[in-house]
Amino acid sequence: MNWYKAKTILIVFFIIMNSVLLGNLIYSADKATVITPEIIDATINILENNNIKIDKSIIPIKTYDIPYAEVRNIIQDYDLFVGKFFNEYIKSEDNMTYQNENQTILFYGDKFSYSLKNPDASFETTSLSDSNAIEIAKKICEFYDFDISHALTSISLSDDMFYVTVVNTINKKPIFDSTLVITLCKDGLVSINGSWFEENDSQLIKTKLSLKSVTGVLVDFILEPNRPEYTNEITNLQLGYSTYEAETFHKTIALIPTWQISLNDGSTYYLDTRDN
Amino acid sequence: MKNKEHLKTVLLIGLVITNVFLGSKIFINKKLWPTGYNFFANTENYTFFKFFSKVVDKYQNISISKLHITNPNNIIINTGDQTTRFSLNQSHDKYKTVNDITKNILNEAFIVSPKNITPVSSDEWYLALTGKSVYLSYTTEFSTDLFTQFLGIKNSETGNSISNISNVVISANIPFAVYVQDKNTDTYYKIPLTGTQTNLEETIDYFQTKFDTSDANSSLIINYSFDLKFDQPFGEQTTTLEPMIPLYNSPQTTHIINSENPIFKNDVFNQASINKILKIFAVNPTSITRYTESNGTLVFVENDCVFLKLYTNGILEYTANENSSGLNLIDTAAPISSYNSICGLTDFMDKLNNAVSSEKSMYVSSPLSIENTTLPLIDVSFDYYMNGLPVSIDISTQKNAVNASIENGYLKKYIHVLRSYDNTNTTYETPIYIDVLDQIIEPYLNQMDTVPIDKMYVSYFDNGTHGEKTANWNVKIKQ
Repeated sequence: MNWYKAKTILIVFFIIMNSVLLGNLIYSADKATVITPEIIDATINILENNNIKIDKSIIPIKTYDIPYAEVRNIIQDYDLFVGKFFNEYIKSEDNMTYQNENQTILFYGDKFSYSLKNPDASFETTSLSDSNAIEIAKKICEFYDFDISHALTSISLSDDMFYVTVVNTINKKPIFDSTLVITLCKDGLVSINGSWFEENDSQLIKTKLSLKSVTGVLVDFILEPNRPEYTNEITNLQLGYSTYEAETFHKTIALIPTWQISLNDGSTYYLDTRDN
Repeated sequence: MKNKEHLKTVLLIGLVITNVFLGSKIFINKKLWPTGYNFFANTENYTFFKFFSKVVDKYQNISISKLHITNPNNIIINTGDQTTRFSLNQSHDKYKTVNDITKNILNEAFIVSPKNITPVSSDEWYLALTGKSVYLSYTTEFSTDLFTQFLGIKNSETGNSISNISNVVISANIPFAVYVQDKNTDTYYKIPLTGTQTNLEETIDYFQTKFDTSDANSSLIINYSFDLKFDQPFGEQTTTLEPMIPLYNSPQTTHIINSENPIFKNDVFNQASINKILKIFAVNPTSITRYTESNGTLVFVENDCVFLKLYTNGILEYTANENSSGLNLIDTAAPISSYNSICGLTDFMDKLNNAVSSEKSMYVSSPLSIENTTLPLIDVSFDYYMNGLPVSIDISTQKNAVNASIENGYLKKYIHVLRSYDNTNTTYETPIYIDVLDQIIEPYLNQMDTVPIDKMYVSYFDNGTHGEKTANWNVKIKQ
């Protein structure tokens, strides 16, 4: 056979082959992440047999791998962190409480609690309302060097107090343990509570984490020791990240992919969804 | 036309490469098989690939510790003249030659029938040292069975007569013999050898004629403590030295070395080294829970238990989870034995040293006598060598470079002070032993009637700080 003709035939052959392989790759990858209706129905049955109700529509039918993420605690050094809020203080013996006449910062694990006896009026809260509370809370966060550029916010009210919850996100997923609650009133800032983690620039691992399917996680939830024994209903499922043992302090931490399961009684549970 | 064909060739090559790439993505990724089963997914578990990776491992990661475990830390050439004895440590260029000769002799000795092995008095031991002989000083005592296995001798029966080996003298006088000291029972044994020991005699003669006591190589010349009668109190002199302690006539000139922590530099951990360490511990770096403590310690958690910690001072600490048997050190095909456990440990240690480029030259510093190596639980320590001299570690609570606990072949606890050492261009001259002796024993004079010195040798001292380290005298008082 003429080599020039053979080359042409081979080129056509490999174009067809590569198209088939590419199509297969895309189709299989997409197929591999879909949970079949049969599995969803079986999962719902298993849950109902264990006093857990769930609406089929809230179960996502696709399982996505999410990127590995490492974060840095905004608190790297207690003295330096407190210095953002006030400079004169008395430290407790265990170095966990910093206090002056009006302001207190208390540290516990990854969390901190900043409170004022007399609200801080410097943040223009005289016209505080549910329409501007979030903006004021954001300005307060920026003032104290919390990077909220990727954060989600929500608000609740109780007895003239506005509670703005700010949750940081990474890779468009919430970090459930990176939450600040900013309490405001018309007199000013009352308190800031919670913990805050920001993306660690120096991480070298850039890969995706393989996750369990959400149905597997729902079945694992049956064994959750703290869940109520009476019949309850799962009202929301959200995929995000969490840290490990927030009661102990972490300077940096590799985030754990987690499903947040919310029940109709208001309780929430967090389940590790890593596929080891 | 020509250009068109050239383009077609380039296109064809590109298509073939793309085809191989796309094909491999499908075959290797198990999730992309519709049935969920991928014949190729676990290629590294195939016998061929396992064999191949073992071959690669063998040439890339030489198990230095296992090869050198029975190397003496000092070989002393006794010429028959008490004033000229030469001490060689592992950095001496003649050490390997002499060591190979003595190893061949030991291989011969340890296949001698136990019937021919006889206990002898200490006088005979010392007599051998005063004649033409070679003294092999080991870092620790070994059970004879273990020692012979490490030498590569199969089914030696020497252990039926001699329980433990502390030190050895190979006599080149006729009749040739190997003398073994068992410090635990304070006994000496003689193993007679047949034939001639020409190589040994020639080596001893070489040293006698080559090295003049007046030349620079006189730094090799030693006397034993017993030569100078320092092993016995005399008059007001209440300090005694163990009889076999070699005392150098001249100051020792040694390189000043630079000590570095290979995993934590410029306030950050080396992530590439961390990932290699995790692989050695059979851990997926992305699926393990990891965090940093307030003091900068990197912590890894598995099944809600902290199992690995990396401290900023270079200390690696592994603890097997309570519910886990630990890391398997022994090949599944090999029987559980103290020999296989220690071999597995040395392989593991060498992998770690290679992964983080820490110092590879190590010696066993804990007793490997019968009493200390009886299963199920064995505790072993190793320390670093540098320029043929031991490195004395004193970092945090760590007094050894490696401390390991092995239970039935499984690693239960492991602490490793990761360190890398380099020579600087500067040298340091250690003072002569007699000048330091008074200074060393002074704190003890008020507490003890006699001050018995058990060990006295030159070593480097590493307290964990970065920077230069100098060799100096290291003295251990017998408590």
